[in-house]
Amino acid sequence: MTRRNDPRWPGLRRALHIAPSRKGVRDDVDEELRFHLEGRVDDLMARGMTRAEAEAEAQRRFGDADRIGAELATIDTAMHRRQRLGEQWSAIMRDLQLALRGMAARPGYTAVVALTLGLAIGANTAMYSAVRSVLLRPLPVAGLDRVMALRVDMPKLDLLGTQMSPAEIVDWTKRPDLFEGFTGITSASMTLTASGEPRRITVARTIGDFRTVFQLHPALGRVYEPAASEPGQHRVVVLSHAMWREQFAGDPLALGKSVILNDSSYQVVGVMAEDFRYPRRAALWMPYVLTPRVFEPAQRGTLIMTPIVRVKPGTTPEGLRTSLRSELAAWEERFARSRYTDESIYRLRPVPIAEFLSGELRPVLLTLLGAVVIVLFIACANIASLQLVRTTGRLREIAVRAALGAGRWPIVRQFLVESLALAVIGGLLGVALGMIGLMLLGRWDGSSYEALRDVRLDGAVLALTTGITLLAGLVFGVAPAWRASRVSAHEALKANGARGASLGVGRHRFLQVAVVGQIAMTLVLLLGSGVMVRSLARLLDIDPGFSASNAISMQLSPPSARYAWAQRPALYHEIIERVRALPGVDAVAMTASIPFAEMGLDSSPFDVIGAAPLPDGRKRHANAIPVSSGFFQTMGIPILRGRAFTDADRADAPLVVIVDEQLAKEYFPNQNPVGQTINHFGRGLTIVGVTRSVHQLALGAAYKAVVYYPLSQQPFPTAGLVVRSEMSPDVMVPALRAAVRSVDPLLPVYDVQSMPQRVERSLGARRLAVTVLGGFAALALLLAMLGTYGVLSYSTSERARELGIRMALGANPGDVVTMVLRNGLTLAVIGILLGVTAYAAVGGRVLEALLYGVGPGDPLAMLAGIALLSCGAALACWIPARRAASVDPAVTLRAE
Amino acid sequence: MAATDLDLVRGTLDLMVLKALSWGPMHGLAALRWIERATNDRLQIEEGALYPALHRMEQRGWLSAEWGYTDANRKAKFYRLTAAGRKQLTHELSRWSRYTEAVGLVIAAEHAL
Repeated sequence: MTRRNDPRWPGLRRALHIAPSRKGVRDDVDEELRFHLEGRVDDLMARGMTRAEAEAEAQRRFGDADRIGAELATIDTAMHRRQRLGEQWSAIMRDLQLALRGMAARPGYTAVVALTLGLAIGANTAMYSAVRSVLLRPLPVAGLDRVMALRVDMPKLDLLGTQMSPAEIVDWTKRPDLFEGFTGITSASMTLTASGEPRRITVARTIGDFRTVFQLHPALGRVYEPAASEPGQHRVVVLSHAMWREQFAGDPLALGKSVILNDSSYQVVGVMAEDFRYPRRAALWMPYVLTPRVFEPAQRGTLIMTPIVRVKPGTTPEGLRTSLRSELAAWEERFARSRYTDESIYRLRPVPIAEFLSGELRPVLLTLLGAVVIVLFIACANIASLQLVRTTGRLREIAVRAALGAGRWPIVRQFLVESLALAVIGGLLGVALGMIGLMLLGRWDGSSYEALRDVRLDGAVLALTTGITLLAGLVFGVAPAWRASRVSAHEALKANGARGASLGVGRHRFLQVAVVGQIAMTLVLLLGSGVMVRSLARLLDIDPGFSASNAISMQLSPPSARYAWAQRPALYHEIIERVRALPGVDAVAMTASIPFAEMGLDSSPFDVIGAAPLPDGRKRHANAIPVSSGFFQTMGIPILRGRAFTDADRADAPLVVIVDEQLAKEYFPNQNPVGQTINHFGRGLTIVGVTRSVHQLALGAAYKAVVYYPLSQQPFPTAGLVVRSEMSPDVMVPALRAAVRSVDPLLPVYDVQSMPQRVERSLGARRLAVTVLGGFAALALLLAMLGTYGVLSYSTSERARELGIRMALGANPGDVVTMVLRNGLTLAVIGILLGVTAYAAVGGRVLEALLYGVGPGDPLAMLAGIALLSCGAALACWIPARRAASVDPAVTLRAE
Repeated sequence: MAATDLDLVRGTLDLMVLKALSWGPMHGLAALRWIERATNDRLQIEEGALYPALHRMEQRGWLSAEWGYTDANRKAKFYRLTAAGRKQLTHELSRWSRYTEAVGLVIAAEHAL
């Protein structure tokens, strides 16, 4: 029997992780049974049997030795397997203990690695959560991929992504052959009268298969039927979950009770599920009542409803678009209009609902997602090189173990366990940091980013994070483990005593690749955030067209039950007078649309009296904005020609309007618009002035033609109050509220913001992108510098002997610095070249959607990014270079 | 043999082996000889069942096995009672006495209840 199978040494065999083979097990069993039978034969012969008799009797008594032997072998094999597993497990536990003890012994190093990984994983966790809840699963709706919004484009009217009239929605809902469901949704503000001050809330009104399209399962009660939109039905509402808790303290008996909206009573029939938030700000949902007026031909131009459909399984947006086009061809015959078939006139564009809802957050989140993946790669490369360098310090220990007969696997296992332990610590830290990140993201001050407020860390993201953590642990654990497993006792032990073995050429190559990779990826992030910063600066340089400082604005909404259309101008004038009387008010005005307030601008067609129609069927159109006489002065909008409105432009005075520069340019080229008459909404209006154009929704967006009406001649429902004052808003806002209340205590005042605030919020997505991307780039730069520094320190320490000899032979410290610097900077230059290439290949294209006024290859941003990275790399190289040069050669050589 | 009889025999076999080994480490044959002597050969042990019982108890951790040499310098597998095995023996003993006591009561019962 060979020594390996020597059954006398089971303990040693186990200690050496040598599993008994199946054959070994069977041999042992047979040996045991043979011993038994032979002993039994001796017993029987002692009682007087012959050998032959005894052998037969022993075998008879024992039974089927073969079968029993097989049974024993099975038992023993199972036992050995379990023992081996147990031994592996306890070995892993031992490795883990060792690893944790090792980490505790180097708290600084461990903290750096854990923090690096934690930041990278935290950033990833936060971004995955945001992408998941904003882009992938914005609504908790079954079959969300079959829900699409229809954008209505009318290119000749310059109307892109507009909506549908209620009548057209009704037409479509009669086509169940095309869709599983078709609904139209419009948001409106209504005044909720309950205990306390009246409040403006957002109300969603729907027509058609609202319930089917979103597969709604209300938390309580029911969602009304499509038939609830018929005129003369009960007035019913479905409350949002938040509204239910707020108004009814979450009482299930709320069903059947009423709420008072715009002074009318509505019955609560249901409470929406908590996580259904569409439209996002909706406090309640109700049927849109289809009065006969809705179907009048003129009302087909009232484009107020967002059409949302649930398509049949297997329908793509493209397929839907095609079938809609042929459908519209049939419409042409029915309505005898060429409007629908010509895509240059009327186009229906299906957009998946997730894309529709995420809007401008989509490119931002996708860019940031790319950035966090890069950060994670940098972190892994960084830690891998740090770990690999640290491995060299332990090569002697490993060599000794190898020499004592430890196999390759236990050594690899020890390194992997250590890396995974580090990864898990980093991962835990990362989840914590990710949650903090989400909290910060949720507080992001941007009016249109409420979607970010509801981002939560869920199970799917946690699973992904766990996967990434373990993968990261493997990625940065494999290099050192592989290196360690290849140590031969001979190699390590022959190497020079004190410092042990070195990594050798191949491993240096790995470190160099890691450094180059980190520098290249960092540069991609630096260049990306550089152009984003430049783009934001360009936007901030844009003059909004009005002077934003010192202006406070708010919205008020007189209830129509108490203020008839004709009474409104008087109410507005009274508010203006009260506010004007307040101390500290320099100017005050009212407008139907505060710039940047998203108050809903409607573009409507008009004619110029005495002018020929525009060629190719295009229509003149403009946004109509009624304003009070002091508006232009209050907003600091200069009058370029003619005059501003005055108090003399009363309802009974000649009808006048002021147009903006954009309208003048578009429709009165080379003419003076002042004195011309336009026909708008069927009335003849004389242009008395031209103002400068104002950005209405976003800095840098294209101007749209605007017609300003005097307040008295064009009543409007919801009013914006604009006040210019040197006083702080903290003082001014309560005073303004009190002034409005003194006119009518039940008038809701809401959306109070200073003008600079409004402009700033319009930049939300871009600011978010710049800030977060910049943060990632800074983190990447720090990591790349640390990585470069670590690797260079290592390689100079390894070359200490050589450098010492050089200095002893007369090289001065300057030469040594140059040598080390050249070494490191070569890597940096390769990294920079690679980084620029990678950025040119992908980075720029991704960013294009987010940029304003600069190209992705903006030279200033490129130079700044490269310069910043070069300085960082130089600093990271210079410190080890200095250190190498300052060492006394005599000391180094003696140490060897 | 009916299933219950088999269970009884198996259970008692474990008990007897544990009891035998409580006197010190011994190989399977020695344990068998001890049982035969202790019962004055009155109990026919099915020898084929002895080794599976030993190996199973080893698997459960009640016994530990080691190869060694007999007095006659013959290589044999010796079994030793572990701490867990000692505990199991105590447990089995008390169970056995409860059982025999109960059976005894039944047998001794003199009238219908």
